Amino acid sequence: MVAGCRAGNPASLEQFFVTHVRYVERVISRLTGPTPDLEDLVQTTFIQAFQSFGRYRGEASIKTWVTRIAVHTALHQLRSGVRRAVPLELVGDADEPNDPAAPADQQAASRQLARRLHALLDRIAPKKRVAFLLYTVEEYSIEEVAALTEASKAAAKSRIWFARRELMAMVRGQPDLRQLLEASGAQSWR
Amino acid sequence: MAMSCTQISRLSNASAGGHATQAERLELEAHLATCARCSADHALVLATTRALRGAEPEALSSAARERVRRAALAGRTQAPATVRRLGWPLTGGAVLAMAAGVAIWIGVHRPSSDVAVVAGDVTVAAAPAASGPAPAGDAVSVRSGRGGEVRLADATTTLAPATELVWRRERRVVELQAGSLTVDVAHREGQHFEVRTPRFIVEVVGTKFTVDMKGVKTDRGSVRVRNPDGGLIGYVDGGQSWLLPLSPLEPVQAAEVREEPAPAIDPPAVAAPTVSPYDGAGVRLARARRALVRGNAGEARHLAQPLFRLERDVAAEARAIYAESFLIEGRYTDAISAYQIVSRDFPSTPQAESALYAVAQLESEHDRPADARATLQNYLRRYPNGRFAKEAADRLAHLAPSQPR
Repeated sequence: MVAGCRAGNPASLEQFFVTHVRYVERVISRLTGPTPDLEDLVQTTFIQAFQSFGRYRGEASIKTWVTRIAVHTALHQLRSGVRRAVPLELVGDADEPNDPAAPADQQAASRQLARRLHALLDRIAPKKRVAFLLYTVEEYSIEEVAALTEASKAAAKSRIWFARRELMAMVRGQPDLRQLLEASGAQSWR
Repeated sequence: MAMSCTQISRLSNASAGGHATQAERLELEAHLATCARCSADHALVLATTRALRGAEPEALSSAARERVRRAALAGRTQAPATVRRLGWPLTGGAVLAMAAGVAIWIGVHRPSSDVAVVAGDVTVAAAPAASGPAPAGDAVSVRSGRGGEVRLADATTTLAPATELVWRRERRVVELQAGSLTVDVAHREGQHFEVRTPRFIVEVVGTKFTVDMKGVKTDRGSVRVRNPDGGLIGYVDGGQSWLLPLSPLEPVQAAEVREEPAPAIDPPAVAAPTVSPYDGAGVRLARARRALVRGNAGEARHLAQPLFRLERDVAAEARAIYAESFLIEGRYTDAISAYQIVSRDFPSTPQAESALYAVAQLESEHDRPADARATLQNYLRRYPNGRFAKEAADRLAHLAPSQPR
């Protein structure tokens, strides 16, 4: 597939797109939080990938490579400061219906909580925010975070640490949010 | 040696992210057992991480994903053509324009390096200072007499006769004041290209399109149309057109909202949602999806139903939302029926494929193995290389013919 993509073979590019699009959506959505620009960001990621296949040397897996492009795209968006507040069409997934086993109010509460946390993350510098989310939410190792964000290991560690500290300080400053988190934590431990 | 609270907070972070070793976890637990503050902090970190991880990340609808696929593939294959198109005007365009003797360049206060008349009867001048809030020198006024071609930054624009526009280079916005223009522009990361008219805005997603004062026609790629206040009207993909309604202030009639009640399905148990006069199909679909996300199935159905008889792509998405609304209520039989309609009536849309696989999933998970087998076989026949082909084949393999109903 990679050779086909390098040669610009439409079938290979299509296969690459189908294989990775959902993952790219997920990574960008995790890093930026709810955004009406998800479609643009995913598109940018794939256009960049399609145009850069000639430079892919196979040193990392193709998934890591496209993740790096997605991370870069998300970082660029966060750094641009253009954060439109009203998510319109980018809610839910037509192909993946909600888990019918989970009560709807629980799903809504979970989303609401995540949205509030992302609103706080908006106040953290993009590089720190992205490193923190890749490490704690996406579970990438320090080495992987460093590679994905094109930073040294020390810088990645430091960014994760400071983002965590800033986020926790903000959470502590919002007693109602803290209560909600503690309640959700207690529920999940039952 | 015992760890300090600072060291422990790093371990807490690593543990929450799933990176701590067994030894580190034991050390963490030993510290937490004796330090109430760290223990509370760790609980909060865990809860925060779980909350961020637990909420499903937002995903594109299948229609949006399809738009991205088309635009991305078009961006890849058409980029060289764009370069050629831009290269020709840069090298030979000025000579041609002079030779033809029809291009007129009127001096501006600050010569614009990103505006160039390529051909035709076109006048470029500094826009009057009162024409916008942008800093002086930002705006350029462009007028065509008998029509022509102008480069605005990286966009090639073809102007119809008697077209007037203002180009705001900082924001990459064209304010169309009269006439019409065709724009050919590649998608650029982090940079939007907009054409604004008094009544609507066209945002480029990476494409070639024509705008006049009444609407937009997309030749290639996709554009997003918004109200002047920013509200989404919808997307116009390659080969499609969108025209302003005759009266944009005409509200959606209540009767229209309530038509086509679902047979054998409960009426919505919610008050009719407010419908804005500007609610286009895209906005209604978005609102219906948001209602679904909130778990409000009745409202989602109520918003989706009036769209059933609109154009194919919109109707297919509305029908898919309708089906999904039953799913979140646990009404699986209704969901199956609704998904079957999507699959049967909109066979060439991306929703049809998802719907057919959803039917198979529901049938196999709700004690209808024979139906599930038939649906999966049908899916594999229709979509041998489909997005769910592997899952469908696996699922089919696990549905033994003798499995009791």
